[in-house]
Amino acid sequence: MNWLQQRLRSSPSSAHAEADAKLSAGLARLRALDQRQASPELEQKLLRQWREQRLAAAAPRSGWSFTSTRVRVSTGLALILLAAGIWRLEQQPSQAGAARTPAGPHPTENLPARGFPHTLQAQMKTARAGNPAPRATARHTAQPVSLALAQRGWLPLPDSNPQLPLGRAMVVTLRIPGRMLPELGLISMPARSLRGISFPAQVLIGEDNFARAIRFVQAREEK
Amino acid sequence: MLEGDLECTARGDEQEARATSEADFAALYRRHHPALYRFARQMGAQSQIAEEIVQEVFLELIRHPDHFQPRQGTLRGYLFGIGRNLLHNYWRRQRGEASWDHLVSEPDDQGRAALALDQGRDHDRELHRLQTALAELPWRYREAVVLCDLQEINYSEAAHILRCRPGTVASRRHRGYKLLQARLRRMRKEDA
Repeated sequence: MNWLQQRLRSSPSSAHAEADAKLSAGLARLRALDQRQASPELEQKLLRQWREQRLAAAAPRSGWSFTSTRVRVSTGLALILLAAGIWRLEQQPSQAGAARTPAGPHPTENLPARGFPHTLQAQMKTARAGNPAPRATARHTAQPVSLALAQRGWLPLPDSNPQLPLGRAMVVTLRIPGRMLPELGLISMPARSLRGISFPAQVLIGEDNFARAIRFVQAREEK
Repeated sequence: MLEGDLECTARGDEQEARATSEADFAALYRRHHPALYRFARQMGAQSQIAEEIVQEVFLELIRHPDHFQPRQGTLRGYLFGIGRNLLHNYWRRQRGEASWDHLVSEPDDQGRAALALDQGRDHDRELHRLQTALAELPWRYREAVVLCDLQEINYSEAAHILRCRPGTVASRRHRGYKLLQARLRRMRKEDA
């Protein structure tokens, strides 16, 4: 047994264990000697802080606090709705502009060949009844299209909207009864004196199937 | 420790952390502040800095007592964890180091004076050498030795403070021991 104990003592692991134990003892002594403490003022300072914190926690909270999750979420939603409203308002004028010039096939393409005189008559009926068509409200005087038409002998018809683009306009030659001329505002004679007379004329039909202007032509042009 | 005892300890820690009266908070402070203060000093902080760290640790507890979760560890471990993080930040600011693993602190002269070591006696001279060697240890090993040997904290609690596994704490402590022994041998030779 003595031999075994001697062998164990002389082994490297035993030497390491002994060194570790010595170091542990030294550290334990260091720990026992270390009696350092913070100053008493620190305790007083912290107790004061504790009292202040308690007072602040006991004080009634204001109803509105941005730290609340509900308030944050509500504010975020309100901002999103506001941004969406602004975007919608900005989009409306461009949508209205897009509605004014619809894409697709020309409306006159689907019209029957004899549709335009009915449209013209309908316009005249509206004018007769004293109810101007909705397009008449947007009528303006000096327009480049109107000026160009006037230079070529075209007379703008009442209740036509010169603001609307002519686009793919169509010129139709027809004979207009003389009694219709005073109603179109082209002549100031009484209608009965023009009964039985007709005039060859060309009517400019706009993209919207409404008669825009009229031009009287010679008989040979009519042919 | 039995499971029931652990639950009792956790409940006690939770009640202690949520000190409802000034007397309770004073008792909590008196119970924990010396160890925290010494920990800061042993990790190389000067007395003023150590006091500031202790103050910040308790202020954190005052402001957010709910942050302490008894299921995650003891109140002592929680306080030491805050203190360690504050020390970490302090040393990073001081040294401008990206990592604190390689930080080495200078010997703490004030600490040695506080210990009132008599360098004339061989025994105390050895303690003086030990303290100097400890102060020169890299932080990674030093905090393991300080927590386990000087603060008498077990491996699992130290692992909670250091945010690593208990095996890592044991490994670091062992490595710290070897470094300390090597430094002590070198110092003895120099003194001789």
